[in-house]
Amino acid sequence: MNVEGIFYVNDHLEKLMFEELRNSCRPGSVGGFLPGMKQIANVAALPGIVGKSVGLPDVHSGYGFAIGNMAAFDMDNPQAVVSPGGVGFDINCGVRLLRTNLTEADVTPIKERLAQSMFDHIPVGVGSKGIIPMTARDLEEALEMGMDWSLREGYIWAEDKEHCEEYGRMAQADPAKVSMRAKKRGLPQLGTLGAGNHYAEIQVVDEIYDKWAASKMGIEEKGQVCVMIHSGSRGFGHQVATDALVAMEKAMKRDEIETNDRQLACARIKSEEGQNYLKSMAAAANFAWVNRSSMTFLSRQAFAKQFQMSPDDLDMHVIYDVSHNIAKIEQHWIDGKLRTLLVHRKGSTRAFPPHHPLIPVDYQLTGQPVLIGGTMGTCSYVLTGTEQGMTETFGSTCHGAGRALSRAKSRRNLDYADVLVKLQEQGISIRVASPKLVMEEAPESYKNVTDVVDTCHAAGISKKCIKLRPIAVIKG
Amino acid sequence: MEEPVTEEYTYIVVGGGIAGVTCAEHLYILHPEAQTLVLTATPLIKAVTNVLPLTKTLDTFEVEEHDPNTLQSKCPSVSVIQDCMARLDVEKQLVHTSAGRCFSYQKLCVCTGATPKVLAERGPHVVWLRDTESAQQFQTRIKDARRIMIVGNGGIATEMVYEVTGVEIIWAMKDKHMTAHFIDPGAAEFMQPELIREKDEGPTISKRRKYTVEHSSQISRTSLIGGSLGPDWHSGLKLKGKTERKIIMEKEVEVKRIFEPMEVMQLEEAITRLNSEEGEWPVYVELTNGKIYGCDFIVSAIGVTPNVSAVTTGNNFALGEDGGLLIDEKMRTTEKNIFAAGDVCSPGWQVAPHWFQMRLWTQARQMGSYASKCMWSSLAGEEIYMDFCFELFSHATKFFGHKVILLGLFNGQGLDGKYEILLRYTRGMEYIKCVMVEGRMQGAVLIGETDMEETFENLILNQMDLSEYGEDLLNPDIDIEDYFD
Amino acid sequence: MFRRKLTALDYMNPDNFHVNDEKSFRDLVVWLEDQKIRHYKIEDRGALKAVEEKDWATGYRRYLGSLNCPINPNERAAVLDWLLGLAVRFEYGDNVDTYKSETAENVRNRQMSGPKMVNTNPLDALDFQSPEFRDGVNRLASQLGVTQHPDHLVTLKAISKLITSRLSAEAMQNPGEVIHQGKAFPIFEADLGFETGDPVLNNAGKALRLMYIHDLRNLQTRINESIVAVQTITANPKTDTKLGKVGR
Repeated sequence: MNVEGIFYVNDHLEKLMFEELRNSCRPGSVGGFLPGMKQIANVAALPGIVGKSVGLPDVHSGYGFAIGNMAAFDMDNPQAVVSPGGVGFDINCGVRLLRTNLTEADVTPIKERLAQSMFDHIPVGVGSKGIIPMTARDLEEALEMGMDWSLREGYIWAEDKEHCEEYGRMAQADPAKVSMRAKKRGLPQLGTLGAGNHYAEIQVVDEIYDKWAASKMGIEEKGQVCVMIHSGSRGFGHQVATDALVAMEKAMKRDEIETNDRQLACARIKSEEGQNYLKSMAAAANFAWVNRSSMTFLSRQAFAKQFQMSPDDLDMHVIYDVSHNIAKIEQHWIDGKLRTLLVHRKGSTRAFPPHHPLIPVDYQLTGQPVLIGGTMGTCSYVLTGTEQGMTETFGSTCHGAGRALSRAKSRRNLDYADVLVKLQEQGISIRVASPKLVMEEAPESYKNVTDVVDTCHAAGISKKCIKLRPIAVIKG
Repeated sequence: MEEPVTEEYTYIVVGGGIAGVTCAEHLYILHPEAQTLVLTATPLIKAVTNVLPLTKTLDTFEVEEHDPNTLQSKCPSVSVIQDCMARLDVEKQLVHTSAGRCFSYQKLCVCTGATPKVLAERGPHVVWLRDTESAQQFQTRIKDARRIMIVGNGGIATEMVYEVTGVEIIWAMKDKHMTAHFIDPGAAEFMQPELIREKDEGPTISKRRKYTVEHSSQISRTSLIGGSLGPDWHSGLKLKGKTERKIIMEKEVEVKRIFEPMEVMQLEEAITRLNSEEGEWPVYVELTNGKIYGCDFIVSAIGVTPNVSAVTTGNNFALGEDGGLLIDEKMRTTEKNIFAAGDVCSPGWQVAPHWFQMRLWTQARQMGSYASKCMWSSLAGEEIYMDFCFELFSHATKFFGHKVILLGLFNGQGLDGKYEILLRYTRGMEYIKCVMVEGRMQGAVLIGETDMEETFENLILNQMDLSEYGEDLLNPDIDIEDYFD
Repeated sequence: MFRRKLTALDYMNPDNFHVNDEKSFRDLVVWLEDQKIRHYKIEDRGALKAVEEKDWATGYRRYLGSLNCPINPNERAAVLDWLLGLAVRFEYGDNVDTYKSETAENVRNRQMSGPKMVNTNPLDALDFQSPEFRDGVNRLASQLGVTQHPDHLVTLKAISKLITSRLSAEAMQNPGEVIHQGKAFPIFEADLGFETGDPVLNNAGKALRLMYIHDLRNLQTRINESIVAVQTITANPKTDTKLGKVGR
């Protein structure tokens, strides 16, 4: 390891981390899924890393880097690397929160209709019949301009851009560095939600922990209705990441880069592969912002239609938009010196403190809002960034709940006999998935979002501000 | 007789089924100033609503019956004329109809669909299910039926076996297991328990608007067939017969002969009786395994053939192996300015490794949409990409009450047996099968609420090497959807 | 375009000169050479003065060449500008003493003091440094609740700001416009973000931060307004809200 690895836990989370590690060390376990702790250590061994390899409280196993692992690399060090595994496949998977001036009482009587309206508006269709029809040329422009494209076309408000990380556009994006296949995968999806852990939720404010900061965000009282959109760049990001991994794997020998894990394919930041990845990653980030902007537009339409009022009258403003799968070039103080770092945040959200120049004016006094979406259907939180977080984790905090290796999704009774017989008649070789024979069944064996958020708060790397409870879920 | 006035249109779509209507709707979106004509032989047109996208290539949707006028009100530049194409003149770019009208076009799309393969010439005893009219006729006949024979093993046959209650069903199929086009023997085994269960007779909310068909005598059933049924053809129909439900599966058989009651008397072979009080039946069927069953009527669901005769007469279209109009990667047939989409066409391009054609309504819609883009772009000179839906085969449907999603080479199509299967199965709950070649996923079958469709779609398209995970990939304790996020 | 220089050189008809008019152009070149530049000896100006001749251009070109004019002879306007500049330089050189004192400042002062008004405004006659004045300012400040600054002129500025923004006629009528509603931010309990070691300085720092943020907010609002202005031209969100669908 080149630097230390650390991770933040409370008692419960600590138990889970070690249990995960223990299980992976048992004989007969498959090497494919490394426990989060090992991954943090492997990352700490990468060339050019500075500070520490940090595991946030929700850290868990992921491809290459663990999800919830932050790692920063010194841009001035020619050995320093950039790794797509440290960003994730769903580049710029993130969360956007809209507020309204409606209360739960306003919404509950028409909850189903409102949800249906959201369904009707939000991503209905693919390709040319996409809600926001896009041609190849539109896509190119959107990749380059990010939210500015949505702004130009009139899908969003100027204030939306103001309240978005990076102002909704990464300038180094270069659509020319993105493969045709990625563009083809992306085009039909623009403006769509996707499946799995991407969703939109109608939520109400359940608790307010910091009244002043909340009011700066436009949240005044409990029961206030908000809309949370959780999505990313999906197939487009996947393809960009896959392309980069392939290219970098080839270059690693040439540039004499060695890592502890094949999944940690990386390239020197200044190399052609590294630069190409950063440019296409930025394009994917722009794609995701356009995506969330399209959905902002559609959510506003849906609400406006149901309440027969304009989105303006409903005060449907964007509170903030954060990414939790991205790499950014930022300046941080290390040992009294200002250094330029490439900060990888995978499953981790940026959390800048008050008075930081990169956060919107409205939040200069309170710190950057951090949006934490729980797993679909569970609570979500809004936190604010702190100075302590800036020093300890380069301004990073958790992103949500932790899943992967330590949760049984639901009761499964795997019993193959009859089915296997039928399949074997076809003469094809079959392998079956069976649960590990010896696995301690922890009562609550996954890292739930409340635990994670409380740990961050206790560690001082971010402060709790608002808690939100879902009342309707729109899953694409 | 004087020359008919030639009515000019920019685009003509022949056929008012799913492919045709989607094509017309999308032409309106792309090119609202151009005049589009939909020429349909039958009064009913499908329209697609309630689309719920699951992943980038999958949608589930319910098909609504719309009056043609609804299409026109949604898309003002689209006109719908109920008429039959009599002759297509590709040189002059004219369409002549049987009513004597004449239309000119700049671009034309053939969406005439496919007709069911006919089991036998014995008209009155053989019913096929293709359009709403035939579905309603079926409903009428099933009311008084005690036993029917369903011949065929595709989607419609499967759904019918599930949906029809109060009737004995003899299900005769060519294959070794049911629904062979869609699922493998393992999945068939999974669904087996659902087969014998009586369907719940709960109140079903019909999401479709119902229209009655005018029993117009001039449209003869044997010559003109309406737009094909969508995925929800049975909802809203009462498919209940007179007795108790019972399913008998006859596998690896074909129909050898169909007999009238009189002829059966003269036979030497014994009639297969299912119980002692059987009595006489209106029709008897001999199967290739020697059994002879009596029943009230026979349902033929043995597949379809592309409906090309209307366009091919007098013209020089190249046809695919299955008899459909051959098209290139821009949906163009071999005749100038003529495109084709849906069941009527046969893709002639080098298809992507994970895609193949299956005559399903999902593909009809995808093709209709893409054809509209091709037509518009050839007129406008704009460049377009081939729609990504042709990169990966994907189909979402419901069989026996279970959600079924099929991705890529889900049955190892074209892999010649050189693949491995990764399997996860929980009785009555889910069935997941992944087709793996050298550690890379090529296809998947997902039955039940698995929530893995998007992840698998990504894994197939990424072609990532998954060998290091082994069968842990399907370990229920591992959330791989999150892992690959 | 040349009017200023021509006026300075006392050309007879500076307003009516047209550079594209061949005759005017030639006449001017000749006049310049004759009166101001005087490069050739009088005898040698013949070719140039022959403005009616068809091959005047040759003489013109030779003239420019001998002047080392760096500009392409065909670019009439540029050439003329250069010639005028040259002439002006010579003119100045001839009368250095007269023109030497003509600095920009002097000219401006003269212009200002030119139209001399009788100053009856008693305020202008005030001695701004006198002790009475200073006292007066400070008294006004304590009445209005403005903190006094060691330099009373700064205090005066603050008073003026207060009066114009809060005590103007409109402000009196619509106090809501100028007095901000809402809760006051407990700035002095907030974290400054860094330590100066001196609590008074810290508070000052916090106040400074607040003012900076205020400015930033104004800037951001103006930026938003200009974006909106652009949007009204470019925006074309393809939407058909009637159907709940969006499409072209």
